[in-house]
Amino acid sequence: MVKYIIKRVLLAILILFGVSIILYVLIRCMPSNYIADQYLLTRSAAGVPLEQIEQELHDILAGYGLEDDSFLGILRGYFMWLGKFVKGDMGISFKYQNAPVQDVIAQYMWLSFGISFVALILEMLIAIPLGIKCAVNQYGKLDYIATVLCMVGIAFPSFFLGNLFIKWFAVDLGWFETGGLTSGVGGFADTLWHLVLPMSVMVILSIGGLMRYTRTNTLEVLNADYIRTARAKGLSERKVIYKHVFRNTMIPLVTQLSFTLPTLFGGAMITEQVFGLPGIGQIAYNGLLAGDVFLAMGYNMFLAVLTVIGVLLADIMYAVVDPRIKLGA
Amino acid sequence: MEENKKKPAEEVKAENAENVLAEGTLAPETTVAEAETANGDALHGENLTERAKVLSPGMTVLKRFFRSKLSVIGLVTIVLLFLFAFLGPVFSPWAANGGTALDTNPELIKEILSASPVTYKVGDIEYEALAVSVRMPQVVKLGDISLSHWLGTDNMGYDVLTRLMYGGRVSLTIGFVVVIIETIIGVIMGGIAGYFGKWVDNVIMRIVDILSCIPSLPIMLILSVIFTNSGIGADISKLYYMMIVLCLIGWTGTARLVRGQILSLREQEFMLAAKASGLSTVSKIFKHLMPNVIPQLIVSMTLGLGSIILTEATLGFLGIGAPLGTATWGNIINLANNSSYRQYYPNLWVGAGVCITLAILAFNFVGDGLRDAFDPKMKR
Repeated sequence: MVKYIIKRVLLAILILFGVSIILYVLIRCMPSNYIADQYLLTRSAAGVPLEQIEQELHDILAGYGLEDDSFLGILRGYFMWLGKFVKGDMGISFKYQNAPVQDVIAQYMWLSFGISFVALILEMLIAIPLGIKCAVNQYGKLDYIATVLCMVGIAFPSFFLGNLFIKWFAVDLGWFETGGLTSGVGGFADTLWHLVLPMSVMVILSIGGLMRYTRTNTLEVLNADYIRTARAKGLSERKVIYKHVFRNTMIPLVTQLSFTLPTLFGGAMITEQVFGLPGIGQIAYNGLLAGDVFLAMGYNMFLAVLTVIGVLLADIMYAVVDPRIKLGA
Repeated sequence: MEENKKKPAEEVKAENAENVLAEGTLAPETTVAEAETANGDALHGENLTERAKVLSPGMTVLKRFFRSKLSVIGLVTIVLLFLFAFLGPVFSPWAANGGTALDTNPELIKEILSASPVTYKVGDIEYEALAVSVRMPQVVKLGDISLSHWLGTDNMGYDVLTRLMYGGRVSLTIGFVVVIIETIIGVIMGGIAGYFGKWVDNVIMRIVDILSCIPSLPIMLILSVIFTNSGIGADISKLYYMMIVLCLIGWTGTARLVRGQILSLREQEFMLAAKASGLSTVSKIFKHLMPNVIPQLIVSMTLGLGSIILTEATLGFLGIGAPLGTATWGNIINLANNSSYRQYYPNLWVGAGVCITLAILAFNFVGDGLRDAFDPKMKR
């Protein structure tokens, strides 16, 4: 087990190395660079001749390894970035008050995490019982209705549903507030009021996937021999479902949860955009478009690390919840 | 409890009926033999072959597919959406030269405000002319829903419904480009990895791991900025370029699927037989392994079509897909970003949203239906 995990972690480092090279080259290919654009703007406004600005700018960028856009220059810049990244220094976000990128991510991550976390809990509370119920009454009325509704939920684009909700519930009916986190009143209740719609959008969009997953797994368990045995020895249907089926259904679900790690911490870029929430997704979106090299790099690596950890966690969870599976192959 | 007892009995019956069909597809002899014993008439084998329905595997799949209501609904919706996008403009008065015509209210052009004779000289010759000032044709922007514009006109003066049709042409077809490229790359890479195994498999799967760790939306943002700035594709072609790059990182799912299938198929007897008959590697992979993967591939391609429509719409909504002038469903729903359009002109963007949702839903229905139809374990 330990040997397996060590092997996987080493592999993960290799993967992240590959990911970071691709990301860095792509980001460096971006034409706009926030610090260069801003510096050019402020210095030329101050009446400094262009040649002098360019000289100064070259020196500044050289400090970050961003001065040379040739292949070798990018390569040198990459290793400069990598050297710092390994030590836990992700560079400086030029757009957000020149704060270290890790601080910017940590600052805005928790809002995204809070929203996703509550949404995930709600999603699980609805989807798992519903999925089991549908599987038990396979091809029943409830099964059909729930399946169709879930498919509709999966098919909705987040921005479409978000905008519909804003139009209907926030403006037409005036039930909820949107656009940012507070509207003057302040306080926790006010913030929560602003988060109802984005959370419901996230729940509606993701509930279908989990429910169908639960349903498929439950169906598989229901066909297993030990369920027939449980029925044969005269257990009540309730006991069969809740004690024998449910617990075995949870095995694949627990591992499935590990895959939600990136969405849990990484923010929902589009939903945050639609509802104007200052979560990590929106911050990264604005940073990317403005050419904030290190923030873009940091955020994408953050997502990549989460993905790698999620996959690793899923594999380990498999072995933890299901004793039949042995790791190390 | 009694209900529970009854149900399995019925199911078993249905299962048996299905088995006759299913076995007939795989091994006609067994079916005939069964039919013979069932009828107690072993002598007239020829007649019985006709009586026992032998369905080809393809027919069985089709039959199962059309038995599911949802997949039929999905298929019909897809056909209707394609008709809407490709035949719709033929019937629209606002379709012009492959684009959407502006509604310029032609009566206004005739209105002459003033006319006065003027004379002017060029060199030695004197010209007489009539200076006419007319009211310029006005574009009807943000027009209401009316008989001539069923969904009104948008902020540029285009008929929304016609734009939706033209948008559908791009949004519905772009998925095919992406899915086909992704599948080709995925099948080749997954096939090579699964068949050869060892270090080839290792290298390819590590590449797959790396690519699947790259977050796609941020990459699309970066690419959009790069493409716009380097002047690649000032028109719709930008969207195609972006989608092709998306293929380059999106083939990993297909590759994993193909590899997994081939790993398990490789160990089966028919592959040993293929090896024993001395077939070439290429023919072993493409003639004997691939056909077994095709059902899963078709399912994942169908589901992929839906997700590409979503990707295009997302890019359009964020304003990083095709340039905003071109009509795609994503670009049309982009108008919802403007809070006053969102609130007061829902006719501008709701149509596009409904089209996108319907298309994704339809492709998912068909994909699911196909999956169930292909699955030999499914009993219904």
